[in-house]
Amino acid sequence: MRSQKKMRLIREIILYSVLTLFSVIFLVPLFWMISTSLKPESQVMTVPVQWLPKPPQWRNYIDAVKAFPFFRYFWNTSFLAILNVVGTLFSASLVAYSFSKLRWKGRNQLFYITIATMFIPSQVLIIPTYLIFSKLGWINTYLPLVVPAFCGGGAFNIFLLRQFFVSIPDELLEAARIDGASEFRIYSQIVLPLSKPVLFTVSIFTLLFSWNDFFGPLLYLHDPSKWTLAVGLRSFQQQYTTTWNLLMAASTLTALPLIIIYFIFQKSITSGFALSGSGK
Amino acid sequence: MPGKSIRSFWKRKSAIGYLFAAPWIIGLVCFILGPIVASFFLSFTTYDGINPPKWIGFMNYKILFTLDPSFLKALGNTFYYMFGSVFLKVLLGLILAVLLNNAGKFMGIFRTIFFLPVVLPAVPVMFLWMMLFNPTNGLINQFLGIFGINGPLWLNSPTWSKPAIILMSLWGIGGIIVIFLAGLQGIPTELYEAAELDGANKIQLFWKITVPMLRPVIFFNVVTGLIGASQVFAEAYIMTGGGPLESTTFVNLMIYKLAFKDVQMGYASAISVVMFLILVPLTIVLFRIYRRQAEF
Repeated sequence: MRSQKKMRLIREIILYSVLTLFSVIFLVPLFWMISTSLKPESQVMTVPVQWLPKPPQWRNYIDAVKAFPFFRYFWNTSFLAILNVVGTLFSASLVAYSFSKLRWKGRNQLFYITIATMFIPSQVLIIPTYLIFSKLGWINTYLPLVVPAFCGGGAFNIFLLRQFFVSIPDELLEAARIDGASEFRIYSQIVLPLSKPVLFTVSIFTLLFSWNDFFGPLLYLHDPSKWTLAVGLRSFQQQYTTTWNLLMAASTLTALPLIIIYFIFQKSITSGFALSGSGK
Repeated sequence: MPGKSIRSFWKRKSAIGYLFAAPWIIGLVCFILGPIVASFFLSFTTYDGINPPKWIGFMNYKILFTLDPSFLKALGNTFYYMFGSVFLKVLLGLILAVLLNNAGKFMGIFRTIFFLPVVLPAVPVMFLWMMLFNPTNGLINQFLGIFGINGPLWLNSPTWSKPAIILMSLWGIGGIIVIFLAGLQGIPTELYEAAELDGANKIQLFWKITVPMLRPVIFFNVVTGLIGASQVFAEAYIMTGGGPLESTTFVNLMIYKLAFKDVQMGYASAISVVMFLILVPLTIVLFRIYRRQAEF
């Protein structure tokens, strides 16, 4: 019995050492980003490694924000993210309601096509989609980055919401229908309030995706005043190739909103991810 | 006339169904199905975005496979990245998930740490890793130096540029870990208890119970991982520009440069169609998995 206890202790020690080791490996890059962002230029990229800035130079953040139109880009990025969240929430839930609670000819076939498009290799869409937006005269506007969100918000979000709506009992809706409620009313006053957790997951994912998008803004926004943080940072980096401390300060500021959101809503973010992988 | 009123009732309901689904029907046609058809069409033409596309039959494909070595190189680079990063991500993700699953009340803390990089914006993360990979002053090579290892040139070396990008992709392993964890928690504990009574050790439990029970989740992660990794673009665009010696020119970077810098949209479409056809089997596999799930 005693040797078994000892074995268990050894196993626990190994387990926690390995996990701690990996945690350190995972945290070091992030630590490095923040540490570099506070260093004077002379302490950046030194041999041997200078782990902590001596003394921390908070001015870097002011210099970084002044070196490129940070607040403008921050606003543009937030604006696009908010529009994407609003558009996706509204249109994806409407479509999911139609797929789960309304009956119409071709519904199941269309839903299967929707599932099939969830994992379309998107390379094949880039050029024609660009040409469509170009013919519409939407290049260098926010429309290509916003309108798709209002057109269903993507197959995956529709799928996620539809799966949730299916679990809402039909009797609940039937009762309201008998009372003469319209479908839109049932959708907005019965189904949506019951679906807050999944709507929230969809919002957070859309927000993360929009905030992190690099390809879309790169392709469609040519006027620097319309850029988002991702594209703006890229041009900042090209102008100041060696000022790593300022670049890391700007990078930290770009990442900060997402880190805050992550720590506040961690549970729904990770469980949403787990849900997305439950295609067993 | 009860028959007629029922029919009109269904008609009305149908109409509402279409109305609610209308945003997606428009989106599906304009942004997915239409573009797929258009890509196939454009791939048989030469098109500069201004003058009307000119039909040239299979010429683009002929050039791709016989006259343009950079395409096969890009395809090879993309496969290298896809299989390298997915293999390592799934393997390491599974190991870490199993360890986490045994971590009891500390699981939450470790999971928080492992998942954190997933939410970080891609562009800042790439700048950060460019610093870490710096051959002389970067953290990674200074760390290797402690053990007397002369670290490679990483992003500046044709041999090590892809491994470097793969290594960076491992930082985003948290998504896979979380999916595995959910799968692990679905395995009935009685299975382990029964095997332990029969005297199985931890390693046997892993290979005889955990891996077989997780096979569908592993499979899912591999397939979604491969499709996701095939889109690799920003890493090369920002960190290496496709070099050195085209070693990180991935298919999507090639499409981007051809279509939007050189405006050879027909030729670029042919590349996208080839990539599409290569990946479609994976899409079909995922479609089957999800359809089954949707039907409960």
